[in-house]
Amino acid sequence: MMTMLGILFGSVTWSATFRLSTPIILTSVGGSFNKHTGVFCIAFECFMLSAAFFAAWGSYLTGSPYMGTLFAILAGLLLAAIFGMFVLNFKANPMIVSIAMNFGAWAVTTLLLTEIFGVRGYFHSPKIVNFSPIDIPVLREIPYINEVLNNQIILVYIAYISVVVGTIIMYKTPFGLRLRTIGINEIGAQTAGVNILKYKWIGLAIMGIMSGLGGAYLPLSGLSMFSENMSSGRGFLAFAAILVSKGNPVKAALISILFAYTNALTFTLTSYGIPSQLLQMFPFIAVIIVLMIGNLRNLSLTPVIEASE
Amino acid sequence: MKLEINGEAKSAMLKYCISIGLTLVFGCILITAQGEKPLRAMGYILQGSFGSVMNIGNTIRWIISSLLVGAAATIAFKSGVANMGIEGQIYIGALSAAVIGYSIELPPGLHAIACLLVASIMGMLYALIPALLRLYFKINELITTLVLNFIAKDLTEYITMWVIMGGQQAANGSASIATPRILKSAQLPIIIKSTTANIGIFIALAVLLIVAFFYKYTLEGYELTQIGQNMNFARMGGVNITRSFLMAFLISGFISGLCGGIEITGAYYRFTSSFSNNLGWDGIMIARVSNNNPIAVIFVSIIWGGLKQGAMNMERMTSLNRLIVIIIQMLFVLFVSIDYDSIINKWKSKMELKKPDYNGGMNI
Amino acid sequence: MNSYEYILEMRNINKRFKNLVANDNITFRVRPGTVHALIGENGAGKSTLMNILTNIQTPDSGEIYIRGELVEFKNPLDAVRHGIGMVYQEFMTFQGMSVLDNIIVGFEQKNGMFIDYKESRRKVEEICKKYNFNIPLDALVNDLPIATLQQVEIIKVLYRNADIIILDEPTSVLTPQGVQGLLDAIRFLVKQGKTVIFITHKLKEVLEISDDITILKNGRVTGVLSAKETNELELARLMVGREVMLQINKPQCKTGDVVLIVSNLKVKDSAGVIRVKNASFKVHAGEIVGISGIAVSGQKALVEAIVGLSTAEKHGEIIFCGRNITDETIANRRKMGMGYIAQDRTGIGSNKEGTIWENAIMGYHRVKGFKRKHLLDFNDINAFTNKIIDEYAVKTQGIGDKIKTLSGGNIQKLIAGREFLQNQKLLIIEDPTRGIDVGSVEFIWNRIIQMAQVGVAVLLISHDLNEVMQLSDRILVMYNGSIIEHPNSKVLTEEQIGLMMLGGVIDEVGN
Repeated sequence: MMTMLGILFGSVTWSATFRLSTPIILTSVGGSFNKHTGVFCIAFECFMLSAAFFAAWGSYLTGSPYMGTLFAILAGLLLAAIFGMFVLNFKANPMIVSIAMNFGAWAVTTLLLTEIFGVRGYFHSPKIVNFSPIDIPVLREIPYINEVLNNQIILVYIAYISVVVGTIIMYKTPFGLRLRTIGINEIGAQTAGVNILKYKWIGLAIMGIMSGLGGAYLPLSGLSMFSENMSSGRGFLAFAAILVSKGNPVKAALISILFAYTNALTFTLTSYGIPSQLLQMFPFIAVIIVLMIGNLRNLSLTPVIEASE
Repeated sequence: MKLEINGEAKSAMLKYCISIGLTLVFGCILITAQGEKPLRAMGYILQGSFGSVMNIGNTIRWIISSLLVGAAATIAFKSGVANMGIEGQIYIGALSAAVIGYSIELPPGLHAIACLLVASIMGMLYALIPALLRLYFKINELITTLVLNFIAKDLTEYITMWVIMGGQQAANGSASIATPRILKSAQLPIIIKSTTANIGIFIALAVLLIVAFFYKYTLEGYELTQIGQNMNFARMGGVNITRSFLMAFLISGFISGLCGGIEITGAYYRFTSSFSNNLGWDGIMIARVSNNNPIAVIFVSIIWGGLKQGAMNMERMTSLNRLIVIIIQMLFVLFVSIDYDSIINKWKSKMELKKPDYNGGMNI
Repeated sequence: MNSYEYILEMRNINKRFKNLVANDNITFRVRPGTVHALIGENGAGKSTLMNILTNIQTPDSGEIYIRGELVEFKNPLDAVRHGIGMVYQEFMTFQGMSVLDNIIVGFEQKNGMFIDYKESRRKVEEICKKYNFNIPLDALVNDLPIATLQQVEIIKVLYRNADIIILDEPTSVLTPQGVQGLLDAIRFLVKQGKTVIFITHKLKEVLEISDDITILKNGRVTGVLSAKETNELELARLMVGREVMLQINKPQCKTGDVVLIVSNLKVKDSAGVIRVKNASFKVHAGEIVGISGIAVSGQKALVEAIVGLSTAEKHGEIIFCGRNITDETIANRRKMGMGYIAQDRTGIGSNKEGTIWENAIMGYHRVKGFKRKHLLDFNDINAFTNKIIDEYAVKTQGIGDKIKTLSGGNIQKLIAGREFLQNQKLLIIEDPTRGIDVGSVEFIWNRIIQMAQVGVAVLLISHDLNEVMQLSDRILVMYNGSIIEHPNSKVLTEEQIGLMMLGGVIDEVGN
């Protein structure tokens, strides 16, 4: 019993949760901005995976994880721009663009892996310099908190700061207010003098930058490695977090933490004989349950289909 | 009036021509950048896919799955169902087929049919979940089917490893998580020796022809098309929208499950975790590129399958990586998705603004 | 300071959309500190004129003067900066946001890079106080009743410092009490020095509240009057009176059995607003019953309930050929012989992505042939589609063409053919000739009369009064959700019916 509590609430699990939530939080906070402008996007796998590669490459070339992160951000921005060009300018179906870009990113990064590093599957090298953990003296004295929160890399802290900053920008600034009106009522926003297209592009840019940061976490958090399909579904988790939270950064972060927590549990619980596959399913089942609860008031015993959104 | 009909076909032709042109340009740039001659690379792709009987056989193996996922996606999209869960439905179907295939003994032929039938029904039942969530909870099937893909992947892996293989001891023994090999009686007959081309191709072609026939000649197909194009029009005409929506969703899941079943009984002979390599997404792209036309799906699938097989030959014979082919495929999907008509119209109206409108008001 | 006579002057405004002249040399002058009513039927050009004023659309030619000065707007914001504020008929509210956010968006008080909510709230509260509005600023707009939402919209334009406030059909969504509240608010606004442009087609309100009245018809100004010197009848004549384009020769009808009985029908729309209140009427075989009414009087909800697109409230009944069909499916209603021509020609009446034959069989593909078991019977389909094309003179190349290649008139003839050639007992026809060419109008009118001649019961719902008067044997008026039946409707003049449509009462002999 004690061990069970230790697993569920232990500092090891929560430290891992804190860490593992980083890429999903960063991406979902960025995507929330895009969500509010009403541009549909599920290309987060593409942004994160490409950013992860460029982060690894940048760090490898320059020996600095910060330069690697800059590479990742630029990659994220560029891909968001390509997405925006197709969807906003060329009026392409955003769903099909997303799917093609997700695949394209997998192919391009895997190709570059062989072209640049001459390996298949994964590339590990000490030359890919990681972020080093940050020791915060204030936390050192507090027993549990220290183990959970202290000695994480900078991106972890940035992620949580981004939730706060993102929330403030979204709910306390004119920019955020105007941005949010677009997704609710585009014509209404227009009559309030909001330049719709400009805001949509800004939303895309924020999404690109934040997914870039999220992707950069993957290779630079201690692994010194890039592997094929490294994002492994985190982009979809971020998408689910955005959708369930309806673009509220705090809620998106909480859902991301839920995903990360179940992920962290798989590390510890598998050694107790609970199949990791079952544990991995939990966040996804949670998505469906959250959606069902959220839609309870729509529940009707006579099924009705309205014309799709 | 005649001009206008031609205009319709013309704009479709234009769309594909521009897309193919753009794809070729970018593809050539890509290949040249890798220090290879584009024509040489294309030659090897063609040779690898259709150059010999054996190559054709292996290409057919890939065409089968492309056809089926293309059909599953086409049915969904043509009827206004956003089924992103083909991948998950394939997994459920595949595992079901594998279990029936190794665990029970049946006469040859019958065994394979049983496998495929169970696979299809399981895929269909798995599609029932998001369908019911849409009908009763009004949850958009897009997100639920996406999420159910991951659940299906984990669930099948769990069942394979913990129920079938008896836990991790067994899993530690071999690197991969897989079911036992299915019995000979459950395997689909091979049609070209020493390849994996199996009679699944006839099943897949039959499915597509049935789908094409269904939408073109049947009452239900007519109704589904109208729902997909204008739900309110169909409602006005007295079509039972709920029933039709459910039917389209379930048929799509049925074919996805069938695809999983044929993959196992025709090519892999055992269920391996994460075997499908994103087949479901291929289906969505094939359907979109084909503009949800079942006959076009056949042609696109042949190209898709040919590229899959030919890419390996290209990789062997040149310094190029076969991923180049996937990148080129994605470029093609992207270019086809562009709404050229709206761009051209915008450009035209910009030009017209500069010209005075002489016959304005006359054309209704 | 007041060196100008008019606070707003729009001179010689012209605006044309492809084949439609929306504004034909309109000159519109508003005196400061007055309520100026802009009235006219749907499509008279009111919305276009106001969209030009708020710079949502740009005019082909014409000038706008504000306070005597020529202005040129480059974007909608410019109009706002010149003190023009519009309360739209479809409120521009943002669901899920607070009232305060709704009001300040786009024009927030700033404190560095943040919204200064304190200052914003103070300003809004100041406005509320000054103009006597009592609004919970922190409530979500979703939770507010429509009348309150309207006040939110008015505060929004006041917050943006509007001097000229345009109210687009503000009373169409309000209860009588709400209307009084709004009229009081308008009077108060004017007392505070604002100028109000009031768009409506309810004449009572116009006479009650406004100082000046400008009447538009078919894109032209047909009258500029002072409210004191006119009356409802004159306004109705200027507004709905028209030269009759077509004269149809309609023979006397031979009325048969009752086909449709609607009794005590009550219908709510999807938002829960009651749109039809206790409507009762009958339609006999061989008779054309016309329902006229200004826009949004409940016609849509009534039609949807009769054809089965929406469900009526429990206590009412729809009886068709002796059977209660209130809860029947659309398919069954069609099977029983109900045909329907929808007002929304491309959204509901046809599938613009579909081919001609696909559009020609919808609704009857299951109930009246076109099938052999589950297969479509293409011989039957071809024969039927060609029959429509021949008999209804649909100009097309072949039945496999996409319907979007046809003109509006041809699409409507195809739809009419589809519904008329099926030996129906009852036809529900909604705005059959809206926006189509004169030739097609005459054609469709004749066909409707023909249908009645062979004994079909026809319920014609139209916004075009002329159409209703030309075709109908009996005329019902729909006003504010209720059906008003005059005992001897054929003797009524156009003006009198127009007056009934606008809420007036006409006695039995027609006074």
